[in-house]
Amino acid sequence: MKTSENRLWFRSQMVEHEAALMRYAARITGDENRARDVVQETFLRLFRQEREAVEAHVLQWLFTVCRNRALDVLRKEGRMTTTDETGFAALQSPDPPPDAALENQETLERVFASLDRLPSRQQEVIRLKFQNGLSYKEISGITSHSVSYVGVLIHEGMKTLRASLGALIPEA
Amino acid sequence: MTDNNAQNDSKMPRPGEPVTHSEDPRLTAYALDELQHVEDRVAVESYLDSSSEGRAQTESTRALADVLSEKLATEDAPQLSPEQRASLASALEGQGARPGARRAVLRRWVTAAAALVLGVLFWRVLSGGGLVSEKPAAAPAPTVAVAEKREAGGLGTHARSAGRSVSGAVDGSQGSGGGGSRVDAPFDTYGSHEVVGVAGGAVNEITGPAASSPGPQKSLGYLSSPKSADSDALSLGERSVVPTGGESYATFTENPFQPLTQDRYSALSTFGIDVDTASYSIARRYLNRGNVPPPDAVRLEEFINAFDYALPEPTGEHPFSVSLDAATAPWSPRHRLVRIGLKGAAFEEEERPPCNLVFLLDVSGSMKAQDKLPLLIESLKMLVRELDATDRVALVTYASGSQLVLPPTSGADKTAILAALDGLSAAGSTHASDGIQQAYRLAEEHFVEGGVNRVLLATDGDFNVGLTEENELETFIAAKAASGVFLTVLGFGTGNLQDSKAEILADRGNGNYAYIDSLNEADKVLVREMGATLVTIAKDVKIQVEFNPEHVVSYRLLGYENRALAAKDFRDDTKDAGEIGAGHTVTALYEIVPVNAPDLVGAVDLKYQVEASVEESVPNNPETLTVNLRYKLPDGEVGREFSVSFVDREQSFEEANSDFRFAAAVAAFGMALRQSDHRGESDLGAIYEWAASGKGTDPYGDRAEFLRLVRQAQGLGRY
Repeated sequence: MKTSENRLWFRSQMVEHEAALMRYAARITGDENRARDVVQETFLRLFRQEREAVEAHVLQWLFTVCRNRALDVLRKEGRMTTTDETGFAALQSPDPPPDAALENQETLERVFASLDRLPSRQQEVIRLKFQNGLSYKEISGITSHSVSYVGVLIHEGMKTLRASLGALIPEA
Repeated sequence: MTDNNAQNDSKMPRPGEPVTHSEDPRLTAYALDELQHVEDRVAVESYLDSSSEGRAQTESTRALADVLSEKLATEDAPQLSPEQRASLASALEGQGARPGARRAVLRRWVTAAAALVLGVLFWRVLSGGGLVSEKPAAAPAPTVAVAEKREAGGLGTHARSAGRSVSGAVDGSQGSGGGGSRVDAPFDTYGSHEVVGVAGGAVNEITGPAASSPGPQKSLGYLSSPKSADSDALSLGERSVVPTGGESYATFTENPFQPLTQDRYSALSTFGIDVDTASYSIARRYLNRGNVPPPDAVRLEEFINAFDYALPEPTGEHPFSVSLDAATAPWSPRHRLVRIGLKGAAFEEEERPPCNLVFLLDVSGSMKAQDKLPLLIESLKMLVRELDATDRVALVTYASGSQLVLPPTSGADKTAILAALDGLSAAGSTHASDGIQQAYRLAEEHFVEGGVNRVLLATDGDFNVGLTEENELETFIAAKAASGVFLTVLGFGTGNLQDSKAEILADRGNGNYAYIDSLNEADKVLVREMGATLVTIAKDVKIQVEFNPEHVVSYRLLGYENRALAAKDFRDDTKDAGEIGAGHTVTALYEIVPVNAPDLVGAVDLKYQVEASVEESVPNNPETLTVNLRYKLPDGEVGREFSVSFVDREQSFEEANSDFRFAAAVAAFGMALRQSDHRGESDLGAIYEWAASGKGTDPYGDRAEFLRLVRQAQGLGRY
C-alpha cells in the first residue's frame, strides 16, 4: 500500500529517469526494443520497493537493476562474448538531438564520435559520470568495478578525449 | 559480473603514495573532486605545486568535464512506448490507491487558516470601493503580527525638538494591548495633500513635497521639509544576456549597500514584488546533475520565494497582510537582517473563482525530450484533475503552425481534456504562427467576470509564437494583461531555455514564471500552490521602504535587482510591478548596517567631530523603518496604499523564528552560488546548520530537499 504522496514520488522517478535508463539500456543491449523491455522491468521492480528503502540512492539503484537486467537479456540470447563485456556502444551512430543549433552540431558530433571510439568500459563509466552525474562510488556500485578501477577507466578515457577533442575544450 | 582489477594493479596507486607523473589516475579524480582518501589530496597537491603540466592537465580535465556534461545532456534518448508507460502507471495505481485519495490532494490547496476571509468576497467588496479614503478610526482590530508597538510614552518622542514638523508612520495599534504588534494601515493615501502620520490620535500634516509638488513617491515620514522630490533611486538598467550552452540568463549586478546620505531621499528603497520561483528550480537542476549553476541564473528573491513561510492571514480590508521581523544577519553579525513578509488571502476550495484557462503549448521537435513534453503533459494532467464544471480549458499548440487541439471544454469533462493532452506529440520546427493571438482570443471570448482568465504558455525556450518583431510580443502581452487576461509561463527542459525572456514576458503579462524540472515541482506549482499560480488577488504590488537615519547607516536589498523602481514610480500607477496570488507568500530581506555598529572599530577616535551629547543621542523615533505598500485590485486601475512601521527589538539570529532562519539560509545559499561579495562569514557548512535549525515541520519535504542541495553543492567543491 503506497500513499498518494509516495506514488507521486514513484511516478516522478519514472518521468525523471526514463531517458537516462533508456540510453543506458540501449547502449548495453544495442537495441531499442530490448531496452524498452529492460527499462519497463526496472521500473516495475522499483515500484515493488518501499520508498524509504531506495530513496537515498535511487539513481544508483535504477542503474544497477537496469544494467543487470540488460546483461541478463544478452546472456539469454547468447550474445555475450565474454563475461565482462557489456557490449556498450553497440548502438548505431547516435542521432544528434534535433534541437541542436547548427553551430553546436559539429561539437556534438565530434563529442559523440570520440566517445564511440573509446573502449566500451571507459565509455560506460564516462557516460555514467558525466551524462548522469554519478559519483565514482555510485558507478562502482553499479558496475561492480572497484572505485579505483573506475578512477583508472575515467582517467584513461578522459586522456583519449582530451587528445581528440583538444580544440573544443575551452581554454582554462 | 566480476571485476578484473588484477590486470590493472599497475595503474592503481595505493592511497597516499606520492604522485610522480601525469598518468596517475588520482589527478583526474582530483580534478573531478572524486578523491577517496584525504592523504591522496595531499599527494596530488604536492605534485601539482611542482608540475605545471599537472596543473594544465587538471584545468583541461575540468573544462572537458564541463563540455561532456553539457553535450551529453542533450543526447536523444529512445522512449518507452505509450502502452508501457500506461501499464507502469496502472501498476503503480494498483499499489494501493484508496478511492478518496485524490480528494486528499485536492484538499491541500485549501490553506489552513482560510476560514478567515474569502478571497472572492474580498474582490466584490473592494472592487466596489475603488479609491476610498477612510478614517484611521475605522481601522479593523489589529490582527497581523507586524511592526512593534511603540513603547508606552514613545508617542511623545515623536515630535522632534528642532522645530521640525513630524510625521510618523501610521500606527493603527492604539489600544491593542498585548501582542505588541501592528497591521495593515487603515487608510488609503492618494493625492497631493494628505495625512501621512497618525499616531495615538495625533495627526500631523506634512507640508513638504506632497503639498508643494505632488511627487508620486511616498512622503518622507522620518524627515521633514525635504528639499527636492527628485531621487536618484535605482532604475531598470540595460540587461545584457549571457548564453550558457544554448540557455541564456540575463547578467545583473547585485544590489550594493546604499548609504543614507545628505540626499534625504536616499532613505527610500523602492521595488516591485516578484513571485517567480524559476531560478531556484533551475539551480536545483544544475546541482542535481552535479553541475555548477551559472551565477546569473541565481536570483535571490526567487530562491527565497521558492519556499512557503507561515504568516498571518490578512484580516483587514487589504487582500494581503504584511509582517516584519528582524534578527542578526548570520553571515555578518554586526548587521541586522529585516524580513518583510506578505501573505495573500487564501480561500476555501468551494470559493475558488471559476477558471478560464488556455494552454499554449510548444510542441516543436525540441520538446520531444523526456523532461519536456512528457513532463509537461503529466504536469498539466495534475492541474486538470483539480478543475471542475465551473472551469473551462482550451488547448492550443504551436510548432510549424498553430493548432486548436481542444476548444474551450468544461473542467468536468476530464476524459476529453486528458485525451487531448495524451494525444500531443512533438514534431517539426518552431515557426512563427499566430498561436499567441489565438490563445488570447480564446481566453477573451470566454472571459469570466470575476474569475481567473489566464493563458499558460509552456515551452523549452522558443517564443516564436507569432509575434517576431523586437518587443512586439512583450507589447502584445502587456496590452492583453490590461484587458484582464494574465499570463503564466512554464519553462521546461534544458539546453534552450531563454530564462530572461520568459521572465520578462511573465512580468509584462501580470503573470508568473515557473520552471518545471520534475513532477514534484509541477505538483507544487500547479496543485499545491494552484491558487497562488492562477488566482491573482493584488496586482502591481510595490514596496517603498523608508529607513530611519537615526538607526540606519546603510541598507542592502537582497535580490529584486530587476524589480527596482525609482522612488517617484511608487505612486505612478502606470508603472508595472509584481502580483500576489491567493494564499501566496512573498518575502523580501534587507541587510542593514545599524548606527550602533560601526565597521571602523580599528580606527582612531574622531578629533573634529564632537560626539553627540547624551541628550541628543536619545533617538526621537524608535522605529527602524516604515514599509509602504501600494497595489491594485486585480480588476482595479487605481493604486491603494497602506504602511506599516517597525521597531527592531535586536533579537539574535538564534532567537529568530524558524522561518526567519530558514529564509536567511536560503538567501545565504543564493549568495554562495553567486559567489557574492556580500556573503560574509557564511560557508556551506554554516548555511546547512542555519537551514537545518529552521527546517520546521516541512510537510512537503521542500526544506529537506534544500538541505540536500546544500550538501550537493558542498560535494562540488567549488564554493
